[in-house]
Amino acid sequence: MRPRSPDIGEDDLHALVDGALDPLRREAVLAYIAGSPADQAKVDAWRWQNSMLRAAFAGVAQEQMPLGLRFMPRAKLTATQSSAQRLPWRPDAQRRWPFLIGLALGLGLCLGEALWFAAWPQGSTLAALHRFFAPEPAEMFDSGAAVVRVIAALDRLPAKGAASAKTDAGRDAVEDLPAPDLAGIGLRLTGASVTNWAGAPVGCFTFLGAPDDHFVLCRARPSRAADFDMRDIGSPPSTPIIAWQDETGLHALAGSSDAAPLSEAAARIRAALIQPGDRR
Amino acid sequence: VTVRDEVSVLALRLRRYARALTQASPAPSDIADELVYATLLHMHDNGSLDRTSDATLTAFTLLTQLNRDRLRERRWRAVGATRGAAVSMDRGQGKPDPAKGRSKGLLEGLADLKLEEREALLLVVLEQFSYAQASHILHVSSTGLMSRLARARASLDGLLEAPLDATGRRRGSHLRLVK
Repeated sequence: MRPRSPDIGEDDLHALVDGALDPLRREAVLAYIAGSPADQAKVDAWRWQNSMLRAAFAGVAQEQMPLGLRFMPRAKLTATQSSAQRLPWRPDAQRRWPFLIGLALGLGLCLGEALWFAAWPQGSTLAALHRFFAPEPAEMFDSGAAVVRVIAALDRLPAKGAASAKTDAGRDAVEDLPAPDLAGIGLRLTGASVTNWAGAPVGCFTFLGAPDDHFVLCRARPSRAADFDMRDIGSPPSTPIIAWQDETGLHALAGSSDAAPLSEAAARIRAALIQPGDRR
Repeated sequence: VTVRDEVSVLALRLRRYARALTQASPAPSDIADELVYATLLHMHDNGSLDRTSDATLTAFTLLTQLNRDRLRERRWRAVGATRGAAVSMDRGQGKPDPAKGRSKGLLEGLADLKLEEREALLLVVLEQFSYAQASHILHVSSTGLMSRLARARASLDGLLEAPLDATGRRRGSHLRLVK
């Protein structure tokens, strides 16, 4: 093993994995680890840790707050919690009288707060909180299932398999699959995960449009097939999956909407992705 | 765009962090939801939600502190309790057992990290804060943050089944940090 360069330390390897190096330093560290298999493997292992950790919690961003928290006053939370779960700002149950007085005051405040909620104009902070903690009991979009469906559908493409995951500089191809910024077309990034397709990494990103339009966009490096225009690679009766390939990579889009709106969304996303500002 | 327009997005991030922090699992958790709820209410009460520049950092700082307070109170309440009960409440706060590490998955490994290591790892990796932001949230120096991050990664190293490389071997699964 080549001895580590005196000006490259363990912290640089962590910073490389976490994307915290400036470009010049990054090049220096990449050049160093290219000649140090042990450090290269260490960096690969940490990147894998990162990917797995993010993938494990990717679905949380798609859930909604339980209705049980809706308008639940803090005093009521206190009374219903077991002692092992009490949070520090709650009154001590052993001080009964102060607790009862606090409970009465809390109930009074909650009544006033409820009236305030009713009278408060839309768009306020509290109204936003209200909407968040009291969501519509709509059917939830299962982004995890959508990702699985998209990856499975990619196998139906004529030339299976994306290009090699490694570049000559030894960089992980995941870094070439940045989360697309689609805020300009009204899609907000709500989650990301990295999965595997035919030996190559695929970045899957979940977006939320308005109102309650969920999308899963999976991006891979271009496959061995020639570029192709949009095509539906979903299989009935499942929801459609629109795929295309261009110079920015191989893309597949699924969503909570029907075929026509999904196709329109795919066209907008494709146009946004090929804007010069998004190219690397 | 003000932060109050982004309350939902902020809350989703907070909930993800809270679940990972309190139970090292993406499964629904009342405690995590209450931490998020309390964080947002505290921020509303002191007007932090209207300050777009630092609301996210403030929220994560507050939630981290609330969780520490919660655990501190648990430890106080554990005084006089049976030893077994105290251990079960402090799950996730002790050092990992190297002998058991091989058979654990990522989430179990995450649960076995010390709280300070888990906080650092989650803020940097899961929430993708910069080192400076994570240091600010945890009230530690950059050196302290890096130390925690390194210890966390070293503890998790080997718990995951790494991907196959081009030669068919597993990448990194045999690695250990050598200091």
